[in-house]
Amino acid sequence: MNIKCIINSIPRSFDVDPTMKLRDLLQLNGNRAVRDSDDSEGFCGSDTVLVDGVPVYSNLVLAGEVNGCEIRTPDGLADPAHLTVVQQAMIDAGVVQSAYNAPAAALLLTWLLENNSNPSREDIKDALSGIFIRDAGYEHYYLAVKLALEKMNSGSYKTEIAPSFRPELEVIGKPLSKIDGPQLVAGAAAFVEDYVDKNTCHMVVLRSPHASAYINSIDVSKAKAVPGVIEILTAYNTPETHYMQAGQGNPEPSPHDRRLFNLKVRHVGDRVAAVIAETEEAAKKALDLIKVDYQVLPAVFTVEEAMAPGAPRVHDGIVEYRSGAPADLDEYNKGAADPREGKVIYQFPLHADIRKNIAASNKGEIGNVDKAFEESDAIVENTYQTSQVQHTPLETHICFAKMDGGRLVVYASTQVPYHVRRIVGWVTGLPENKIHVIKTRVGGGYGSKQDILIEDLTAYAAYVTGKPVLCHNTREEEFIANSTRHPMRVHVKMGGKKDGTINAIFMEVCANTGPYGNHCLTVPMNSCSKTLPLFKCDNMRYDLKVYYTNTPPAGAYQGYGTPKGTYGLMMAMAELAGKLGVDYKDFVLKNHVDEGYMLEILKGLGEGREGAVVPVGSCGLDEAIRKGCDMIEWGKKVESSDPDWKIGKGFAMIMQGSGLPGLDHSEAIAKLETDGTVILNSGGADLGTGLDTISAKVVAEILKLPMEKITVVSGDTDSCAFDTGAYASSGTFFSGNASVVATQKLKDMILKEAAFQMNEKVEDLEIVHPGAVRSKASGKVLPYGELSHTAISGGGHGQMIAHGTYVTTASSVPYGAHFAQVAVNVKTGEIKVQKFYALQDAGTPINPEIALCQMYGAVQKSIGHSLYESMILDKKGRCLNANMTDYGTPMITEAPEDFKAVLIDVNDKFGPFGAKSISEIACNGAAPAIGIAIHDAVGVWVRSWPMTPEKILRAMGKIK
Amino acid sequence: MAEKLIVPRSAIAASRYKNSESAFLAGGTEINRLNSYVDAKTLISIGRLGLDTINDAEIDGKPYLRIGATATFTDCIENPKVPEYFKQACHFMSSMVKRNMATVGGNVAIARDDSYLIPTLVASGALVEFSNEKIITVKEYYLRHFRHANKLIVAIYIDPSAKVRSKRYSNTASGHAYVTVAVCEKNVAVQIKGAGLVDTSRLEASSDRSEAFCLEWAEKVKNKNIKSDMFGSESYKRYLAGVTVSMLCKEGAR
Repeated sequence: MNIKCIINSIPRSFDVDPTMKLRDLLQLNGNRAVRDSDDSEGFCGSDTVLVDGVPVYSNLVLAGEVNGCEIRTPDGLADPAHLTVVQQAMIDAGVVQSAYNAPAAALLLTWLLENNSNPSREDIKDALSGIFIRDAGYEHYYLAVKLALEKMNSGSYKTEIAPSFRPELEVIGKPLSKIDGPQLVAGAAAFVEDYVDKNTCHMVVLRSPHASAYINSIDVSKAKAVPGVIEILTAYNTPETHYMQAGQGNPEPSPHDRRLFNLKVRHVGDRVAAVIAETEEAAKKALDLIKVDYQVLPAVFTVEEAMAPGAPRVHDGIVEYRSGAPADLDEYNKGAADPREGKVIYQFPLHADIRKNIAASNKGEIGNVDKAFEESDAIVENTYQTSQVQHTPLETHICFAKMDGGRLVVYASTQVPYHVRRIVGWVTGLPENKIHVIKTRVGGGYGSKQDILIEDLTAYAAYVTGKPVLCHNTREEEFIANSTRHPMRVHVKMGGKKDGTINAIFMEVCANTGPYGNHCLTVPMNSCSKTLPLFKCDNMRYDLKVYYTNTPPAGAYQGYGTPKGTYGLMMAMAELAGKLGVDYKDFVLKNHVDEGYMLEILKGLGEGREGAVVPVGSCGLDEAIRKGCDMIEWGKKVESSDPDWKIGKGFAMIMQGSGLPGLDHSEAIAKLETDGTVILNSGGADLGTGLDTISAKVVAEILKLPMEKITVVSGDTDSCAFDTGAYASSGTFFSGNASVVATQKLKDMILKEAAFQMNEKVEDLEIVHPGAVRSKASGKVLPYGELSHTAISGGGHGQMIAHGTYVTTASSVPYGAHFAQVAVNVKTGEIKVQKFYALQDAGTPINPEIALCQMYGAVQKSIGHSLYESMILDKKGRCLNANMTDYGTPMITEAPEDFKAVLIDVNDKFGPFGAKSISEIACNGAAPAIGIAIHDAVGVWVRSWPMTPEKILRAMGKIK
Repeated sequence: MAEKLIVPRSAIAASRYKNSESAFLAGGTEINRLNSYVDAKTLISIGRLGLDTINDAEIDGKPYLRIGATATFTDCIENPKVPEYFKQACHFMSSMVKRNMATVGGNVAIARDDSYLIPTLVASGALVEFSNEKIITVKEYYLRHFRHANKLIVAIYIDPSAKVRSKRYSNTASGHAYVTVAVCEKNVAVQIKGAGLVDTSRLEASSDRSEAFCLEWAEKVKNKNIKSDMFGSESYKRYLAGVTVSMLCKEGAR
């Protein structure tokens, strides 16, 4: 059918199948910013376009229906060099972060303002009601509209975007635009899908329908006969190398318990085979023709089932240790079952016992907990259950790999390019110099892209076929075959004295790691190590065990184990306050740590090694609690005019870390270019959080250069030096500090070279704006451009290139307190989050507007986990709600009515310019704050995620 | 997955193309959606047949508002003639972009068990008109929609003066509804995911709208398709149905 339409004011004509989706047609036309996040579910809105001036989802429109129509797409708004007022306002407001559907949001807001010159908050909410924002939350979208209107009406912004910090500094702590904002908001090439070569092969994966089964045989003969099929990979023709997919420092505190393909499938969705074909259609057709003979085995899905005597074993093969093997290992291995079980290889002991489904364990104690409980005036003891939740990044996992000049080039949407390189090296057998990982912009990670979930297989496929290969997960695969948050059962026993002190805490954590042990030790450790150090308590004990099960895999998720531990501990603390008859606020204020308090509890809570006992460093916790209590009017009962609605308040204190002291490692290379501009090659992996902007600001601040004269290249394993990656809240602290070290060194080189060229003493020279060296003695000024040109023109010492490395044992801990006011309907159990105030000490917020949006986004995510989100498995381990609509991610409609993020001003001693981490900690407070508020409203404790209306009604005795 | 798209010039022509292997395509929010209920090889586009007008009408001397089948939810929300109760039902679809696409006729035709509009339409006594000019109640259509599968809905008639109160329960606003209740004087429509519209005749035969009576009705209403599922337990859904009928009636009385 011939379709004539106007796309972004240009008449177009296409001869296409009219049943083709409009989005596919627009992709053909080169409108790459019309993206897809939900496989045509009509949920996420990344595919939004205007047809005849009306916003529609282009995946739900057929090409044949737009004949004669006028279409506007997000990339038709402007190019990155000439942004519209709306696009610029979005960047300035801080909402352009991972930004996979920022162009679509820009289109919607543009449409709104073209049709409504004075939109209300409700109008904006409605305009954004069909677009899913996971990273930055929605709150600053209201600000973006306000800013855009101010600019349109008066030529400049009138509203403060975000508070500024450190008046003595030029750019650090100031809300300046994110440097990659224009590229992202305009929909320019940014993501992996934008760099895929023409004629690239497609890879699709055959996934197990069984939760546990041996593979007896795989017949690929018919599949291979499908025209266009290049190769079919299975366990029979891929390496037997055992590895794991967690992107952690090497040696990893996770067992190597999987191959590219195993002969035992361990969850519904596990890899069975992969088809590489010239087209996606051929690959899918071939996939349907693969015949697999399974020997179905019994499965376990919960920690209770996994720990039961005689439970089916998820792993039952040979166990090996790279170090620290126990003396009785040979005896232990006599119990190994079928060879198809494969191996479990530990880098060092994790106190595991796979014959009991225990993937890892740990325990420790300070003081005398039993005695302290005996001396307690009141004790609470309860169990808190968290659910399996998924990251749902807008950009599903994607990888493009190809051979180029004998090297394997991998385009990855990853938080850990160097770990990707290492693991790809393991599975292909290639040395690292033969692998080039290019981290593109990341369309949402939240920890899921800390794991190497498709890069291993895609890179291997490109390597063995010699063909360029693209693999792009469906949304369903994100749920069933990627990583999720570890479901945990947190048992807390807490004892207190009548004087309002907590004198004993016992925390027992049982975590479900699913079929493989990614992060199996460290996530549950984190639920203790990032929670117990909040308490000024001399007697504390933790005991954690992690179980293998046959659920979809678990892994890293923003907040790591902390949200779960915080949920249990803070709920128990609130309950104990009630039991002791003390006000919860006073109770918290009396028992939280302060600067200088020695954290003895940390001695056993390292990441698989001895932890360091350190004092509490800079700490804004007390201020956050007091200020938050004032904001929410703690102690003042609010009554609803409707007697069916009861209102309650709650809060929780929270903490996290800023990277892993003693483990994390970051490097940066700062180069003065010949014209006096600077390129900083950062090993850090900006996943949309503004890390590259932090690096640019560091250079601008130290070298007194305008931001536009600085370029940051990051996450490219060829041009940048090693960095462990963006996880464990390490980006700002570690990668940022590496940029500081490199830039300081470059500054020293500049001064030394300038002294030589100016014939002055180094001590007489200073760096001045805008990028020059000035002599305090002679008053002479040498601009960087001149200095650098001379240095490489035969008269100097060559190009100035500085290499900075950052490692530390110092720890900069962010603290905070999150407050919720909820309304609960006593008849229906419905819950409304009326107010949410997030107060956090992030040290010096280098990008304050971006920091605030990360707080909004993380809180919104955790409200989702607390109230709506949960992967539901049937009795056979199949996920029933592996789609966006049924899974329950919150949209703008679920955002709190009154939502505030507040930065507590603390200048940290170790962070770059006093900065600490910001976003992970913001995942920790919502669940306990809301849970405590629900109790305050209706008097019942809901001790499991999600805290649904049904659970409330049950707790209230309304239903049985 | 559709293999063919037909764009007819009239409703009569559209009806002629309809058979067991084809489906009418209106807004596309259901048919073109991932895991759609509809599996048709041929789609018959009815979006440009001019079936989107909203105007006053009269049937058997009773005033109605006639809403063309391809009027979108947004068209209804923006039209001053459309009564608030129906606008509220349209707003149950939380995404503005989706409301721009979804059509009233399409939502009725698809007859989902989590329909946005059906409970409100049924409680208010709304009617559905086919291209052959035959008119039946929406309730009758819903309960026997397979019989009408090959008929093209051209309009829905709603009572502009009906006093309908409705409430929809879903996990998030964007999620599928698991219980939707609408009441209009003595009429009660209760839709439960998995079961669709449940039998409310006992409720409608009584004037008792006390919570106790409504809960007892909900507990005892016979429908084997009210089951525990990922949306909630059977007892929760029955409880919600009963308590909500009582609540909405009390609100109406106030």
